[in-house]
Amino acid sequence: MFKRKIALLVAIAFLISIIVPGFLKTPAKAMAASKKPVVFKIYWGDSNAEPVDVWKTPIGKKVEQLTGVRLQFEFIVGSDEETKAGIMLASGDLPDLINAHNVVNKFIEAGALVPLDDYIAKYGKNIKKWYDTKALKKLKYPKDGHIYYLTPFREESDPLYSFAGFWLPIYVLKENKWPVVRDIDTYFKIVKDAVKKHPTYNGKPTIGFTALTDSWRIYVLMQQPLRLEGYPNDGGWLIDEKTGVVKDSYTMPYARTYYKILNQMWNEGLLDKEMFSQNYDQYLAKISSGRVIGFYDERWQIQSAIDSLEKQKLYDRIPVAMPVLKKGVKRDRYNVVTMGTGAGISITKKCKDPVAAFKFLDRMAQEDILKLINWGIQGQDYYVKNGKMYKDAKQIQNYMNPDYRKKQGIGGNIWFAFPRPPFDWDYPDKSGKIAWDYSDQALEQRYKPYEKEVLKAYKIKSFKDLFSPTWNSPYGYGWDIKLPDDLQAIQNQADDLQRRYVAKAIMAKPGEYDKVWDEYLSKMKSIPIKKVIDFRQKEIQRRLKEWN
Amino acid sequence: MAPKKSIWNAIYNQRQLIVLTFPFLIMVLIFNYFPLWGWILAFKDYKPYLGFQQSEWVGLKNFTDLFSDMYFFQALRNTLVISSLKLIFNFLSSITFAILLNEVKNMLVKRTVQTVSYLPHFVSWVVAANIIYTVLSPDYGIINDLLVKFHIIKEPINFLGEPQYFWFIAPATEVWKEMGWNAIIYLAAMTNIDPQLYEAASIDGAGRLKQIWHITLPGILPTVKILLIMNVGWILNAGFEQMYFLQRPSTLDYSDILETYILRYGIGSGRWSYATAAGIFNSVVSLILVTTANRIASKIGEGERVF
Repeated sequence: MFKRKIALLVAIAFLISIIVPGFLKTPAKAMAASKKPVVFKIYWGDSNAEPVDVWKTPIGKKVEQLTGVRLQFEFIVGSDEETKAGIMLASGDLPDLINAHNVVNKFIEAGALVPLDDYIAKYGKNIKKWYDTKALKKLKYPKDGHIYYLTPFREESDPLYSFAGFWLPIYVLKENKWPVVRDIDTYFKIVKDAVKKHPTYNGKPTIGFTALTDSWRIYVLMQQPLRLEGYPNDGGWLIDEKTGVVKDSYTMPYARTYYKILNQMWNEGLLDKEMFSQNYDQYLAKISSGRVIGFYDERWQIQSAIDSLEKQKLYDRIPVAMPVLKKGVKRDRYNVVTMGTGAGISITKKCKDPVAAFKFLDRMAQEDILKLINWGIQGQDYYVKNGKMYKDAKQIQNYMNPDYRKKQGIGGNIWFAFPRPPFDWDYPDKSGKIAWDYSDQALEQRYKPYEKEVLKAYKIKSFKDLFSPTWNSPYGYGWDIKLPDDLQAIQNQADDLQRRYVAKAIMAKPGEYDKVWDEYLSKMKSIPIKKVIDFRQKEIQRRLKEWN
Repeated sequence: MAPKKSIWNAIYNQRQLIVLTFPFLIMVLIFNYFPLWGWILAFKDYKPYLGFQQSEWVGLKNFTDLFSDMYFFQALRNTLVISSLKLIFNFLSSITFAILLNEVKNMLVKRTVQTVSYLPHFVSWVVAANIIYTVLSPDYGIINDLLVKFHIIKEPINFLGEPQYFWFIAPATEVWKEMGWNAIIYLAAMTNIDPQLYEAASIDGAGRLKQIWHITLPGILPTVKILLIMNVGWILNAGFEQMYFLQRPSTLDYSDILETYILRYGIGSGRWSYATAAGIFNSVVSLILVTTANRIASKIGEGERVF
């Protein structure tokens, strides 16, 4: 009996020793160890970002020393940002910081985020340097006038490459004596001829034209008629930049014409048979194999395929973007430069110390850290001469190597999202540009030999010279307008219908295309998309009025 | 008073066993009954930031919305078709497979075949979907290659891209993945059959087929019946993961099942209440189906039923 009691006592003591420390807070200890970094949990809700823990790279470790903050990343699994946000909100299980990406409005509407206005006024000494009053005004959430994040979508565009376009591989351009392909009929003719001339590559059939259709990424297929009509990427809407009148792209007449061309090509066997069944990885693998001739996409989506082609030394298979338009349209808007209102990093109401978190965000926008994350470590990734930053040939080579950048922790999707100035701004100490030297000479250094040959053949300095000059949008980006939940549901329905029917129409048997399209138009009528259009129109008009 | 006393006696005699069931009862209460409270969401316009209490009551609006959506009925039709086909294919394939395997007398062959056949069960659908995609690809898939080489078809078929094939791809791939696993329970049931029956039958002159028909099949019938009843209850769950990973925008008309529909139009669009309403519909129909199946089974059988 006695033994039993002792055993019981031991068991209870054991349990208590496990449970109790969890409830006890030890502030004294935490104060003593002030050298230890403050740990913030951050949820990275951007499904495009490669889940790389930058805090473990050499540069990340330096950032931790300088800021005294360690970030613990939780990356989104899969691509469904909306679902994950909904589940997080319903459970109330929020981390300290959030990069909410495209669904930030869900968090704002739920009251889950801390308004930053007062913090910016009080502690934002670096942030105020980069975001002037006009910029901050743009970032106010229209409904309540508060600022919840500092957008990383600054007025900048890559000086080297076009943002998007219809792509053709270098060997096809060479065979056609370096044409600047401006209209869609010529483009498809080149594709057709190339397939005829090279029916196979490496023993596998050549693919004339393919498209990315994996879940939400199918938007690049939906965007094509708009792009061909000379509109920018406004999330599938035709926006009049002067009056702010919004029209839907779902039923635009040109969509019917364009997809009919694709339907004919499908029936001639020129389109990729797997166009509607492949996923993103398979699409990238296909482009990396060098078998694909034509496709439309945005550069950031196919960057890894280009990297892979370079690694295989298949330089003549690397695609170049062309400014393709509908016949008769004069000006393309593939390249837009404007400050967007897309989400950056926000502080949640569950954050244990919002002031410290904000000070951390502000610290991230200080020059020494900007140099570190964009230029690298001094002496290793760049050198300083006469107070200016330079890279020698070896350092440039390193910088151009995606594997090195990833290992070292320079640039990339994670640093991109922190508060920052546009990359082509100067540092106040005149030591160079924020991210890189943007002079012509420096740009030339960044092009690889095969790219220089192409540029020489076209007699241009940058691949962007093939396109119209970058366009400064007076209303920002149409795609970053945040819809309330009920309108979002309507939008999703319309998107869904569009996705189903565009696929159906392109794969329709000869002669059945028009029937399918008419069915699509009549079904679209049953969706109250007008409400979404009205909301967008109001927002665009507000922006035009308040921003300019 | 006598019967009452015997109940108390029985309880007293089984007291340890009864106490042992309590943890499980509590678990079922917490995880299966307590969440029913959440069904209230279906009658509210739930907004996470307003919380449970403040969200507005909307009556049956979510249900009327649900029943007036054309894609809901399409998803319902797909669910019923796909899971009925799955049910039939799965039963036929795994029973046939188990019977054939049972007839194999070489233990090494039998074990090897069984192991190989149930391995795909452990492959997750993410991986399985990629395997299926690769095998069925019109570009370099082995099935298309073979069909073209043997001149059965002229052009490779885009199996996963064309909607009309989906209703058959779903059950077929499920059979590939689960047949060996499902057969295990029938093989177990077969080991319970008295070997003397087979001996007697063979003395009476029954061949292998006759033995299967008169001994093996009746022997596993109770198992088949119970599994059938239980599976009927799952008929509105056509296999979320499989559909989620195999469906493409072009095949939605045939591949969109209730669960993927709920994900896209409910939770994915922030319409919690709508998703809940669809979930309730799902549960109610399943309950009706399983009770009916149970009734029918007990009427036609010799009393085999689940409850």
